[in-house]
Amino acid sequence: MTRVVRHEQQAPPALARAGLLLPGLGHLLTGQAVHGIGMLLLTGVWLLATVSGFTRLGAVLTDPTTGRILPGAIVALVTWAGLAGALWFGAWRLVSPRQLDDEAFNSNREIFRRTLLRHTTGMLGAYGVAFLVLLVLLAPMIAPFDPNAVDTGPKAVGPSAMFWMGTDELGRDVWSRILFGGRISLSIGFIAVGLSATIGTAVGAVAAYFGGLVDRVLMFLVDVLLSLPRLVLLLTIVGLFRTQGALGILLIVVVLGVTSWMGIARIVRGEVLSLREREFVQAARALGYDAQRILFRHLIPNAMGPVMVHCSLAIGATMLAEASLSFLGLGVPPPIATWGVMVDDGRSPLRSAPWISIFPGMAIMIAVLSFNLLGDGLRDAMDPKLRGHQ
Amino acid sequence: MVRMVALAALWGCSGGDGGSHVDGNGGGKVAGTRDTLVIGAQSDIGQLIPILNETSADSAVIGNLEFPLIDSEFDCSLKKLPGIAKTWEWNEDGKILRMELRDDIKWEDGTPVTAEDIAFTYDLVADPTVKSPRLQFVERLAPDARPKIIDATHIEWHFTTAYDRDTQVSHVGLGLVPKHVFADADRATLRGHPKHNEPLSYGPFRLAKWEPNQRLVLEPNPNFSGPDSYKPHLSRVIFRVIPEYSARLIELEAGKIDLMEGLLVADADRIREEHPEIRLVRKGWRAQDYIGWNLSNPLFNDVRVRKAMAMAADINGMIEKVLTSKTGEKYARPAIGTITPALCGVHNDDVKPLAYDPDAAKALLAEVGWKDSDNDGVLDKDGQKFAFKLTTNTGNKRRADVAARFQDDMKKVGIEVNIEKIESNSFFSDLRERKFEAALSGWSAGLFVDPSDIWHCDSPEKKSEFNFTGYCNPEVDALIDQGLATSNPKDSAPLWRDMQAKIYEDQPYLFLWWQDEIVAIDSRFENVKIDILSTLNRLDQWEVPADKVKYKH
Amino acid sequence: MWKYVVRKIALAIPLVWCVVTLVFLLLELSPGTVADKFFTPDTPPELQQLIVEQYHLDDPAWVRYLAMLRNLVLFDFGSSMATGRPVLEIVQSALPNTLLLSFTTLCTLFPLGVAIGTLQAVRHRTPLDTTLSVGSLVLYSMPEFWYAMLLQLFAALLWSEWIRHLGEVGTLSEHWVTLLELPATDMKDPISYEYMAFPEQMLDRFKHLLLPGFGMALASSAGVARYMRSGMLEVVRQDFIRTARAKGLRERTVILRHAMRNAMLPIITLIGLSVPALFSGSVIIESIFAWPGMGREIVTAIYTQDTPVLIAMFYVFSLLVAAGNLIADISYAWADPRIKMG
Repeated sequence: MTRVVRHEQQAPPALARAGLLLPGLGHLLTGQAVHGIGMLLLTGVWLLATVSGFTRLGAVLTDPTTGRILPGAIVALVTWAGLAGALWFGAWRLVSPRQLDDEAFNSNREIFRRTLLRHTTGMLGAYGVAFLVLLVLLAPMIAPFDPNAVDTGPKAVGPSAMFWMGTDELGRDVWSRILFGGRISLSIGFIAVGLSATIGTAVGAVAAYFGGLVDRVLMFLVDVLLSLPRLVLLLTIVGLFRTQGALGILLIVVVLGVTSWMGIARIVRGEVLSLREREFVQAARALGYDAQRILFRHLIPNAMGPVMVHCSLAIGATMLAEASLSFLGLGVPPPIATWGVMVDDGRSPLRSAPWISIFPGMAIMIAVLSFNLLGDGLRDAMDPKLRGHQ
Repeated sequence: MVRMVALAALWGCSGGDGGSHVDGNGGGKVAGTRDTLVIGAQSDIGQLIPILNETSADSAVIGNLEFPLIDSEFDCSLKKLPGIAKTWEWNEDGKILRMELRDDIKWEDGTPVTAEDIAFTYDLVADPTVKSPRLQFVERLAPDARPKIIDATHIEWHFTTAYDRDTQVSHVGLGLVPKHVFADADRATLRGHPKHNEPLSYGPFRLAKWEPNQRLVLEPNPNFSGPDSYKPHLSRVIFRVIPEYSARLIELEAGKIDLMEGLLVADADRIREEHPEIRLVRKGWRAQDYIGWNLSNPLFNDVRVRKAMAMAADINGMIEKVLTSKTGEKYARPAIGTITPALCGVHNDDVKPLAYDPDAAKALLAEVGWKDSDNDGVLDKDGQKFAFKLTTNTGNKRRADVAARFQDDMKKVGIEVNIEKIESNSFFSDLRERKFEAALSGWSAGLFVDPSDIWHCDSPEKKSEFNFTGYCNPEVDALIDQGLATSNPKDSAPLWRDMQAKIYEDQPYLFLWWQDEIVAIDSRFENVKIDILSTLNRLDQWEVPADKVKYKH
Repeated sequence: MWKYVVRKIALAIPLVWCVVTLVFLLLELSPGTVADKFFTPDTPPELQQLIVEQYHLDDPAWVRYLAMLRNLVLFDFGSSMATGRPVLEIVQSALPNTLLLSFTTLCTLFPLGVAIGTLQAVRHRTPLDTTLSVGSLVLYSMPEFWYAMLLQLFAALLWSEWIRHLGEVGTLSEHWVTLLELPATDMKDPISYEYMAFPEQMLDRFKHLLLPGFGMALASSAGVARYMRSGMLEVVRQDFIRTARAKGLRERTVILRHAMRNAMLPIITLIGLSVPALFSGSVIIESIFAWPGMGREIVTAIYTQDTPVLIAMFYVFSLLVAAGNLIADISYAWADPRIKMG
């Protein structure tokens, strides 16, 4: 058997090497605009973290009152190092592309990767998500001020060189608050969607695998929940069961999760139903494996693709729902600030100090948009019919 | 086919508006009145039956539909003016109040307002099935909580004890319910009575239209038979319900509403610059913010701790930051008790608020034993941290800001404050049940002195209703009892001043300030009398000069 | 046809039943006893007893549950705990307003979404397609309330201020100023509506619908556009379109007559599914634009834990959702020849 070695597209080496100096520059110069801009954006974040973090490392690492080392700062340092590695690895890859044999080149995984990487809007979304996640993880290094300290500046002043996004009514720096608030907003999105994916997968798989009455009852439940206005249901549950502090935030995450699994359940059910009749499952059944093993080892993993797509879209929807709850006064309890809470803070002074709510609103918008674009990209990359288009 | 039916239903309904109509004089206007006042309100009214209303939005509307039994105005103290009662007098022991009534006041439909209506109203209040929020008004009224009718124009109110006369007058001055309309109504479901949204007026204005959550229209009552000085000059008053503050502000600046209450200081600054046609009026010293310490909590039972926290809180700084305009105008003054400075002569001006001094506060806390022994930035004593929960209600931007500032001030002396916001209704019930650690809330000052509900110790038979912190000082109790038994205000004033000093010494609350409310009014309105009683108290006197009329119809 | 409709109606009943049962369960499971929601701590004991009797609060849960079902079927919603007003009266005054707003939104959102989606599919992989995709996705990704607030601020305040300024300078006549001014809140002119002639009233209604109805529909049309675009792309590849083109039909005819008609089918289902989302949106939009509808009533009911109002609102919502589904099902059956009636 002869092995044909296939090269990925070779870039002009001189221009590509510019990337080693500034990751992303190489991509930009060799015509890969999306990757160039995306990577430059991430490089920008990295440089910002480097400059603002290492010039005052002591202040970043330790709690000013107690002198203890902050765990968040450690996470930030690790992220910083990891990001550096990833950026220069990407730049180096452009200079010396991978060499793949034919089999690897045509593997499903490789095709998926290639399609996704060429998907312009999908990659925009991916870079957007990466940008936000990194900003948030690097927050202690980037944020110029303590997000919760009042009177860091005069109250309600507009954007300036010192306060990039202005200050709020309490003289807190809006930019620092966005960085730290994003941690909660994004975490709520990820955790709630993780929860809904778990419930949805379980319900969908069980319904499809067992079929019959179980299927009908579960799918009817899905129909009922889908027919309720989600925000009204969320409001009612949070309003009735309201608690404070850490429990309050947990309640919101759980409620966001348990009110959004229906879509995933339908997807998983559909996938499992079609997979059930495929040869490998029939084979497993013939081998006498029990239902549990077939479900968990064969059916569910194979249905995960569409679930991932849905999750990406759902994170956006969840962040929007969380923001709406805050707007209606039933969001995350203070002092925890999320982007939704921040938009709400800026509601009354909207006329006199619009930046207080406009910037966090934009943060939500960018996050949701990125997740939606990424989700679309993932779907297109997974859909064999669309491969090679885009 | 089904589609067609659904469409027809949609359009059919939307034409109807679902509003309630009270048809009066066919929309024709009363002679001598002109222009329309449009008020931007945050919430809709809940109830229009006088004895059942609960919110200030309700009272603002209802107050203009009635002609008071005894009217009042405020100037250092409440001054009583004749209303339906032409004259009134107390007997020697202060337990009987006699009144002579006018016989010419009529309900909107022409039926005369009689002593029977007054008695009927009080029967309703006293009947527990009605569930009137004014039930406690009749607790000290005897017999049967209703007035004794001597003859058609004379009634007597009998009280079980003699107590503050202003309070007595407020207790007997409830708005009236027409007996001829509600006599046979089912009392348990009075609030939902078919006529609940068609109140009969006996005051300067009448209800022309109420479209729930949208608008409520008042027009002059053509059959008003009270004194001419109460006859309105405006041809319409419209209350628009706009829940969002920023939307209300947009409508104010666009000239679509003429009056808006509760302006933020920053917006007042801007409006002063950009909108010369809008006049800003300060409504003073009625509202106070405070932080109450739950005295049953071991953390707060040492007065030195409470004093230390008062010294660690930079109250003037907060006023500077939260309630001061760009031009340096302060919209609040530090408070020392629950008696408003507007009650001149009774308010104790000699009590000076504790000065901001975080170092002294730390020293005082150290004296009690609170030190940061494990160096974590939070004070501790016997292994317990000095940390507590500060609860406040949602939906109040000013309080949220104040809470965050207070948290910051406390952090500077090593006290950890966790802020908790809960929805107003449950917050106030928690306050009454004393289910909180520290609470940031506020009073609306009484305009006569009756501090017993706030400061009196609990007695075995009755929990002191608004004594949220569980305060109890026998000396203060003695002063209150003595003050209430004194009928001449000149004699009771020194007692009240003494009481304020004693309470401030005990620091059961951290009194923050009395703040001014900023009211924006279109400048075409003249004769606008906004006093501490209420913004719309004398709406009948407002008028617009003929050359400035904005709405012709 | 009738059999089909009857079967669909029969399917709606368990749905409505499930929704009210769910709400009842939520109310039962929430902290505090049933009675707690009905009194404040200072309600005197004799009064508590009366309330308990009036609302049968001491009955076991299943008795109250059955009573609730019976009352709902009879449209006897009781009265609000907060204001004492009959709940039916509240629903009657708020529901038509919400329906008007939702109906307007629906009637704007779907044609708009279909148009954008079709245009994108026809101009597939052109800059126009990408611009529309990203543009509509940007609108779609905004927090609804934030978008609404900005819309109100820019469209109502700044635009109207500019129009009024033009009026003062003399560029625009008074007539045009009144015509072009955009109202920021409310569903009709609160001051002069009853003094307007009928055509003016209609115009006034239309202007008040602009921001909360059409403006908000703009943001949510992106969802429909995405469906329409992918649906069209799918259909365009199918044989019958190729056949139609081969027959020499004009491209316009192919797209409008053949492709769109087929791609519209899933959109019809989407109409039914979007009814709950519309009601969710109403909660926010109504409070920002001061629209006197169900959304505001339900938020108030949640804040005050007004049990009778809450149950009634959910009941009415579920009836409407069921009706929406029914209409969608019937339209679908009517539009799709593959489904046989009967």
